Amino acid sequence: MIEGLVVTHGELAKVLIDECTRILGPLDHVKWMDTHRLSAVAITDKVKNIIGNKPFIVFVDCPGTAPALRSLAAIQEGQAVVTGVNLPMLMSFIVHREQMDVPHLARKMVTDGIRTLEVLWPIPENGRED
Amino acid sequence: MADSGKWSRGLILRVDDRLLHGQVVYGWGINGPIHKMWLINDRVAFSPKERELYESSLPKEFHGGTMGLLEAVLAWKAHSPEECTLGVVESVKDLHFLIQEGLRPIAIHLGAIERAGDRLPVTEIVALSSEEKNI
Repeated sequence: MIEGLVVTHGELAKVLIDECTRILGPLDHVKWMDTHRLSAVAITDKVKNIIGNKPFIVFVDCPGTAPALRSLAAIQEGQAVVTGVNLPMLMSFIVHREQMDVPHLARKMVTDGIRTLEVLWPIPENGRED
Repeated sequence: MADSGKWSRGLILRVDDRLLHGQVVYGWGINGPIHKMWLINDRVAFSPKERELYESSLPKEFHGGTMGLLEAVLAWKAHSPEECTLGVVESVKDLHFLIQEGLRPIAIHLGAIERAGDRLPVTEIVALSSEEKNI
């Protein structure tokens, strides 16, 4: 089974996992960590300690920031970093992680994450795209 | 966050021991005045792995990348930047080197410098050793 680690600024990661658990039930092999007050080296070391060399997807909040950059420094072959983590993305991860390998699942996470972004009001002139 | 209206052209040098993180990318870049961003650091510039790591993490809309200290000096001597450009260095020592070699930024910004060795806090996020303070 592909494992997940959510790394964010502050406790956003914990909240995402808590809410995912509330919706889908207890989550196995999904961890979280907060980078607040950790040095760059400490973030990388902590991520490395959690993921080891197991198949893992590391979810982070913003590209170009310490969670993303330091997680990228920590991963090895067979692991991936996905940016822009949100709740639908995490739920898709839980549902699909036993059916795909890491690269395919990582790409699906991005597709499913993007799919949830839309303007609900005002209604777009051309109507909603389904 | 950096004031977008304050700077329109020229080089801003920032000292930040993480080089690239949220304040740099989102405060100065995506939501700020910066059009080009250079991470000026010998360790990063001379390590293919580090270089790839940082360059792949720079937002695609920025021109720039990584360069060594001497490379930065040569680039400055070839032509000073016309767009608003942020050069990020890791330490006060690196900043001092660039200034001594002739770089003339329109502003210097002390970002985050972690407390380490004989550095003592100067502000909540900046710690300097007595040597660095003298520089």
